[in-house]
Amino acid sequence: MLATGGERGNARLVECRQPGAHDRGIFYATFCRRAGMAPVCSNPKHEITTVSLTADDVRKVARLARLGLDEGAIAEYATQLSSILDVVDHLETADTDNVEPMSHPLDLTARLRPDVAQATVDREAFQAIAPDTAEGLYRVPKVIE
Amino acid sequence: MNWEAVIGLEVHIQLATQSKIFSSAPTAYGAEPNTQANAVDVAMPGVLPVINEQVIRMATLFGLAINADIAPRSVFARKHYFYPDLPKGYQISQFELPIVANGHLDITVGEGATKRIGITRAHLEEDAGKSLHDVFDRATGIDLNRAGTPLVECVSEPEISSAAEAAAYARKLHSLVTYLGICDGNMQEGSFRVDANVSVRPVGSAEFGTRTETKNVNSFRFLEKAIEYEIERQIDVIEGGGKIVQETRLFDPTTGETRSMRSKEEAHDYRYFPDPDLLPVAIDAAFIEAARAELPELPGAKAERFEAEYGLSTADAAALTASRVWADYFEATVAAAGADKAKLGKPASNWINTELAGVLNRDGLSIGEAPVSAAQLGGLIARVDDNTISGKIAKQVFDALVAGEGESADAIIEAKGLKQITDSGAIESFVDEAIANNPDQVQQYLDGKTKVVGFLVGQVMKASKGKANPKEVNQMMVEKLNAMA
Amino acid sequence: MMHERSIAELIAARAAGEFSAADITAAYLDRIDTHADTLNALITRTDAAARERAAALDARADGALAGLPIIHKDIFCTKGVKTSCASRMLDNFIAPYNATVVERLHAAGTVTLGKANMDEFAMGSSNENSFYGAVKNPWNLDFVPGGSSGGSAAAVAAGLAPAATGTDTGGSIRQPAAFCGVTGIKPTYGRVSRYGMIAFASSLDQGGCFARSAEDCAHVLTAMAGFDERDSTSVERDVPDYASQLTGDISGLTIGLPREYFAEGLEAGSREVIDAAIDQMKALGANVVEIDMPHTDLAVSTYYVIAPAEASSNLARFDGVRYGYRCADPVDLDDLYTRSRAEGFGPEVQRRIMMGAYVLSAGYYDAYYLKAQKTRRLIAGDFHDAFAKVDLIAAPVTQAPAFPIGEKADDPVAMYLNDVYTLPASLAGVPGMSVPAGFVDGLPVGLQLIAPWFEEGRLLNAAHSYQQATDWHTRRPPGFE
Repeated sequence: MLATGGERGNARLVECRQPGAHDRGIFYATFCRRAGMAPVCSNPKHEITTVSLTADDVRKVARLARLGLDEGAIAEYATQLSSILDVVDHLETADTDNVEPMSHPLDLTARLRPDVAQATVDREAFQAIAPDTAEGLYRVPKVIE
Repeated sequence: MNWEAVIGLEVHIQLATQSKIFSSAPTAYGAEPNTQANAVDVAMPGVLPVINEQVIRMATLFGLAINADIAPRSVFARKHYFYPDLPKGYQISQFELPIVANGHLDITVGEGATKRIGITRAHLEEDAGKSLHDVFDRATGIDLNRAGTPLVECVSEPEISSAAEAAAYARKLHSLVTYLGICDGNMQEGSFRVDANVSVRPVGSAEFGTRTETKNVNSFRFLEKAIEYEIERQIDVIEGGGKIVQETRLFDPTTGETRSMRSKEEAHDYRYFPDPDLLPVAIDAAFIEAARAELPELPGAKAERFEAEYGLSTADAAALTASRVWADYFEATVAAAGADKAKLGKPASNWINTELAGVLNRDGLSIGEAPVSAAQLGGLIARVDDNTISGKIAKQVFDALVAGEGESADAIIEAKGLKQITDSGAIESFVDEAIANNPDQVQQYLDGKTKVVGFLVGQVMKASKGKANPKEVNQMMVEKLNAMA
Repeated sequence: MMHERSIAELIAARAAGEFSAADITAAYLDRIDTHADTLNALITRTDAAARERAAALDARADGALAGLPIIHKDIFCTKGVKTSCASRMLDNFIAPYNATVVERLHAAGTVTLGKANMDEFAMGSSNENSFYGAVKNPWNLDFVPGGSSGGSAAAVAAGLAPAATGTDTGGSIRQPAAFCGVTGIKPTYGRVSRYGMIAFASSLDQGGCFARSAEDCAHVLTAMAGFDERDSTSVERDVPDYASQLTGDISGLTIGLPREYFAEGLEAGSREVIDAAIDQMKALGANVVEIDMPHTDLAVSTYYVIAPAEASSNLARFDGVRYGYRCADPVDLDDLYTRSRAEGFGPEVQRRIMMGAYVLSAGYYDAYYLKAQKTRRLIAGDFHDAFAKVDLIAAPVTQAPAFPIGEKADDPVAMYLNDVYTLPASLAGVPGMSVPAGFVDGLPVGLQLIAPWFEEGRLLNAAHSYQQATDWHTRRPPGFE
């Protein structure tokens, strides 16, 4: 997967409508959104349509997230996630130079816990709700290393 | 072509805390499966991590000991991958802002030469659980007792050039963390785990070769063997026209070889991001100074002091200070032997490095399990020092202590009647007896073969069952023989 | 009628011996019998345990809320009781511990009547994303109650309980409160413990409550809120008795109206209701000024990066290994993971998990996640600037009242845009409320009030003052009187 642009530039996944004009019909076009530019094909005469997310991208993230999807679902999610990304792309309009990332609503630092062990593990209660256990172990299909 | 190795080590140091890094479950080794994994460790829904203060303190101590920068603000991040012994589907680790960075460790290479190995970073993270593949026929069992155990991952610069240097670095690091009391150092139980990144390149080349990562090395000897094997293997592959594959390899102690670990390893995309359940850890100057005040004397400083205070050789001082337990044993021994450190240091060092080490080695014991306590050994050395017994008798007493035949050297000397004979009247009668019983040797002496005096003294020692003071015997024997001339 | 009484009245009447905790519980269980199925508001009922608990409280009453029936959103872990998060993934999950919120309310003497339906893992704005089916709006059964705490809001609106807990990540308390015509408060981030509250987006999730009035909310929130050493993001700060801060006086208070919340998009009918509510606040002596919150338009895109990113990570633990749903007969580990998760999670949850994995993945992190963290600071900055000038912010909760079930179900983007007025306060972590302010075509409209960090007392007092002068909050949906 290619990266989208940084703070100023932007890249957009586009599909060239000119049949057979490129090795890959879908590629990234870089452009400057802040300057009011729109993405264009390397040959500006070619008409393009923008795509945010391909079925391949969906396959990759579904794999990362261990979601087993069939092809129908992949296509549907590609369309939906693309339209969500279209909304998200609005972020590009914001000038965030010199803005610190905010990972937490309150600018606090960690409170530390004293190192005191508490033996409060109720294995029986925990494993009563487990799908498969034996000899105190959680079981999964054999992993071959 | 001449090749050189480029080696970097990643060492996982398990911190010796009471409770886990983000939960209050105990960290003891060897408990019944899943009895030390609480709701946080099992990653039940809705539970949350809370940072253990001791972990931060220990990491700070470590950073100070390797002369590193302690980050005033460090951040825990989530590293995502799916594996059954990783209950949350992510490991809480540190990524962009580790707690410790830019340190170094000086190792001894060859006689007296030192080399500085840079330490890029040391970050905190939680350990995973254990996958047990041999318990069930068709299933893998998951034990989460280890999940959440605090680790420091210490990453060296690729500045190590040989298997021997790698082992020296690992030993030095091991010695350091046990000195600091932040790790129990037990390699068999996985408290100190070393992964070796190894590549080779033509001597003088500025570019790095493709590296492999060798895991599962649980002793220094294996580390050295694994790296030696890996260097040879890589050179063979390249010289045979092949290419090194960047991969994870596993060391097999039975064959002494490394082998490729995964055939269909998926490309990882860990999707690190700051853990929103945890706030940044702030370490202020006061915290660092409090940690600095707690820093124990470290091996280098201790070795220098041993040379100065106890009159030890550099080699002896280095050997004794390699482990804090050995160094403590040594100091306790000298203290028990008497007040004169400069005089008693050398014999104590000799006893520990030869006799005691021999026994420990023979019986496969650690210094902590020594059958002779420092107080007992010190008591023995004191009796040699004040001439109560000879060195030879001392060995007998030592063996008796090892065998548990007495509470102290004094008790054994008393019980066995080993006290040295220093009474000159008693010695004189032994000497006279020896002269009377060995006329031939006496004649030889009188003929100028003065070396034979050793034999005659030996007869006295034999007759006195070794208890006569050999120095006095020698002196009296020579006087008497000369008087006969 | 029992369910007409305020929380303070219920507690007082019981203390005076007018009736027992058992009577109160029985009366509410009757209402649940009559109405809960119509609304599909509850996933689990705990009638027997509730009766037992009420009887025990009658034997030995203690706690500020002794005998008060309550319904918990099914996102809060309840020991020994199914805690499903409205997901097939946790349909078989009997929590082995209580959430801190549940514990605190229990300690105050509440009686749990059941677990409220919700959007699966709190992802949704309509309560249509529940494994247990959509919740219906008591004001019109063809309309959504809002989400994700739709079951809680509908239950309080229909008088099935005097109060219910909820959680708000991007509006999940305020929006359903508005749609159902009840009072709901989302406190400051860190005010209420998240321990045992199943995580959706950790840096945004905040527990709160629903009740009929601000005064009732004040009683419940006082018991819920407070520091918890098991939650690292919980704030060590004393909790005032919020009820004692309800002076009913807001004269001299300066209320800011952000122009961005009254721009294009706000429907005319709702606008009229909000304008009237603001006029009422003026009549009560508040000064009203217009303010600018220029980064408001970034909230939707910021939120839909940060929330899915955190969600994709938080939901990685649901893997079919230690608890929850496991697919039938997995052939290998990979099959176990991919099928358990594909079968266990509904489509909206899957969408957000993938969206989150995407924005965190190699090459995209800076452009999406890091960028969104920066725009989040800009949005929080708007609140800092605003609260330098005003004491409180007033705005609509939504652009329009509740919409028909099914209308936006196939259009995630339309659904997301629905949250535009509630997201900014969530991103900034400030407390917010929805207060019933009128109706459009028989559907309730909520007024949103937002206060500075930790000023829940001021927030509740403003709402209380408004409710002293109006009766919108006392209206009951037809058929649920």
